[in-house]
Amino acid sequence: MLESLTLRLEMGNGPYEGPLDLLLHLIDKNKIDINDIPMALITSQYLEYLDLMEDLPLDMAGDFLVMAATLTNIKSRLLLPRLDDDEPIDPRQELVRPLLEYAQVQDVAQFLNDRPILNRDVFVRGDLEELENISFDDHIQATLYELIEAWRLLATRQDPPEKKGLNFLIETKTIGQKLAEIRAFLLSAKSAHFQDLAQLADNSLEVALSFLAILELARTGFLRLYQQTESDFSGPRLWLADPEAQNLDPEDLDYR
Amino acid sequence: MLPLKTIVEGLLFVADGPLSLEKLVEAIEENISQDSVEKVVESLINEYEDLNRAFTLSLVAGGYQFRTKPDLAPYVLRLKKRSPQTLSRPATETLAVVAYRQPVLRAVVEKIRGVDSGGVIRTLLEKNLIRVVRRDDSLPGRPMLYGTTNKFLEIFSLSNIKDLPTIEEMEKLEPKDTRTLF
Repeated sequence: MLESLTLRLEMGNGPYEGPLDLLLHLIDKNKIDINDIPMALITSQYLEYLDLMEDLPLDMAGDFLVMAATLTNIKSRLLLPRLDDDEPIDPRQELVRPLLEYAQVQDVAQFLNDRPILNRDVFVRGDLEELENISFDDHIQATLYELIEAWRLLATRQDPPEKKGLNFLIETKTIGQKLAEIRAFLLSAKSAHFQDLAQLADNSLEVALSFLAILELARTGFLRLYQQTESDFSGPRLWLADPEAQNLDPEDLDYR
Repeated sequence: MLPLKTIVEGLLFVADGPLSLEKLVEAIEENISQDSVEKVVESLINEYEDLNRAFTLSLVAGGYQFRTKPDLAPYVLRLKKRSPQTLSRPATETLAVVAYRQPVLRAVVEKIRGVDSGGVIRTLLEKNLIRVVRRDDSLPGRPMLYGTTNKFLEIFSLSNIKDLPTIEEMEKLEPKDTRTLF
């Protein structure tokens, strides 16, 4: 069970938006009737998932813990003998309504996402200059999940395994060389995603080098960094800055 | 005088946002009825449709606007050198709740989604996709009630908030299992 959850986590279907999202997923996966939830099964799978998340410094884990408490509470109430006079109220009812309601929200969200969306699917005339209007102090709103997902994407880039026997020290480029490389790339491409530039690198040390070079180029005004939307975790997009700054030759700067 | 259709077409061509019938009538200034302008707009919509142009004349946010067809998207994006507008799942879910429950309290949004939504709501406010409709005077602290904006309609190509399918229609429309595709 743990294995299948781990697999799912890594398949990129997650991360779950919140406890209700996770519960709905478990209900779907086990092909459970929402009106007749087997509390023991769902609670144990839910807690397994929480265990998985334990290593992550989750701010939002609070919401997940509250739900864990609710689940355990319902489970224990099911086990208590009922007094004869008691109305036979199923304690699971308190889960059903929020779950159905949240499922509806997901349906509506899906409907919205399927619409012809402005500046994704359909476009209006003009607004080619729009990019200029992006304000520099736009805060990036990212959930912890998006950060984890972004890190997961970066971390999957692995260095080639070291060969047995002879080990040569890889000759890495200097920051100066990297600066020149990125500068040349941008002068022809005008803009690029961070990931495009990371692709140019042979190993993760060089990715780190690219990163430093980009920061340096941004500092000297050669390029601008934009992150267009909160979920745009393909990384920041780099743009050439004003034409005068393009004359600045990063090779002149001594970073070796 | 110019044919009404030519005038309307020209006005729609230069407008920098969806143009409502009221605004069209106002600009034409002749003694003209809204109905006749609407008829002309409708016939323009059909004409472009028949000609199979790269764009459509669409009714969005209560006005008419030229928009490219979705097939053009990759080319336009390359021209504009930008990545497509994306909406995060938290943002879309929050919009879904606000759209159907407006005017709605942040507390209600959070209850339905089961997670803290303060950050998403702030972002949506900044991006002008939702707005503060008013405050709820009956509650302590007079918390704000949120609703969707015209920009929300423009982004999602909706003519009107009533354009959204009812929850019952939605259930017929979509089999349950599609939601995991998100």
